[in-house]
Amino acid sequence: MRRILDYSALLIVFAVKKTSTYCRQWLNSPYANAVLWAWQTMNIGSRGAYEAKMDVVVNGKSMPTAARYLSELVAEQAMLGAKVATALNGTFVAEASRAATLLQPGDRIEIVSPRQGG
Amino acid sequence: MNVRDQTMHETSGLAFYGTPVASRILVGTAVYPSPDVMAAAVKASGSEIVTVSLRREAAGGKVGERFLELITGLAKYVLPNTAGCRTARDAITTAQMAREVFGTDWIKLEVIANDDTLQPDVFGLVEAAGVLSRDGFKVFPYTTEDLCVAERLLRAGCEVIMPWGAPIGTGRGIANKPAMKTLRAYLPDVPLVVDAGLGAPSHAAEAMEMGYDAVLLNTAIAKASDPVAMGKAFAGAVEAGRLAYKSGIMAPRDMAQPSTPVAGTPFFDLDRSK
Repeated sequence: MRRILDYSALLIVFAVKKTSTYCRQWLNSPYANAVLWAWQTMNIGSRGAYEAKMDVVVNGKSMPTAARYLSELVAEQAMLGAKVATALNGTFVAEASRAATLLQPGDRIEIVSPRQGG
Repeated sequence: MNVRDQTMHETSGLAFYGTPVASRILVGTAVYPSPDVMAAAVKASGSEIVTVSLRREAAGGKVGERFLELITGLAKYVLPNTAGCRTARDAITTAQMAREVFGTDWIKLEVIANDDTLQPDVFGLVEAAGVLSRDGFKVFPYTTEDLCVAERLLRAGCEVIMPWGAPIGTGRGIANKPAMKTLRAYLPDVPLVVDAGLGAPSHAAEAMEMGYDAVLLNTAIAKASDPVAMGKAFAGAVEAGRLAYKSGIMAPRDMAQPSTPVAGTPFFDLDRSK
């Protein structure tokens, strides 16, 4: 029993040492840098790391935006919670899907609301 | 259409996609002198269905919400349109946006072919009607009086057909009466609504006398000197026209025929020449 415990302790020490080596190697790799960059990019809005503005076309007018998702653009246009519907490049985007709809430079966005009609 | 044919088209009541409607007038909400006049005119017409649209909202805009408040409680049902769409794709996307905003799967489908005549692009219309019907929409297609197009729309899934009387906003009345009669005769069980081109209550009465199930009006009421009174006038005309159709209108004759009995006419003798 004692011997088994000794062996397992040895194994644990070995495993920890090996893992830390791997971690150090991985952290120095360009792969880790890419992941770190992606993570930072994903948090631009909340952290304000830098203002990445791009031009999109909203209701026929070209304008710069810091929004990365359609939901953010709707908020930026002060229309959050308003009775509006949206389309991206001619395709309908439901309200529930706006937060997952990533914008690209040059995207054409329509934001519409109820009006009189014949 | 003769009297016997008319009984074929007789139904107990009007229903659109299974939804019964009491009023045979659908009213547009545009081009009135003011929102108050619009609301009063819709009420005067007795309409249960008002048409609405979607337009671009300005940043921070509340125009849409104010309009939505205005029409809430105005009529039982809203029928959003795809007015101004020039392609099937634009119309499909607009319909999907309308469904989300207005919370209805009814759509007045317009695909416009020409800016001056505002005539329907019937090819785009049939295409969009098929896509939307498969997507669960209840499509009210704004079309021409062409029977072939109407049949294709039915095959695409439409259960209502809305032929124009004349181009939108012209107020000319029914331009192609023979074709409109043909459409009615061939599609006895399909709800048919004359959409666009009617100007005077007599035009609406004529459509109803021809056996059409309902009329859709906007400019004729909105652009009248007194839209509220005109709404009422159209309500009367539609009711009279419908009652006339149900009553069986006499067939026209080429020759005169006296209505007062000839027999016993004073001073009239067949052998007067003697």
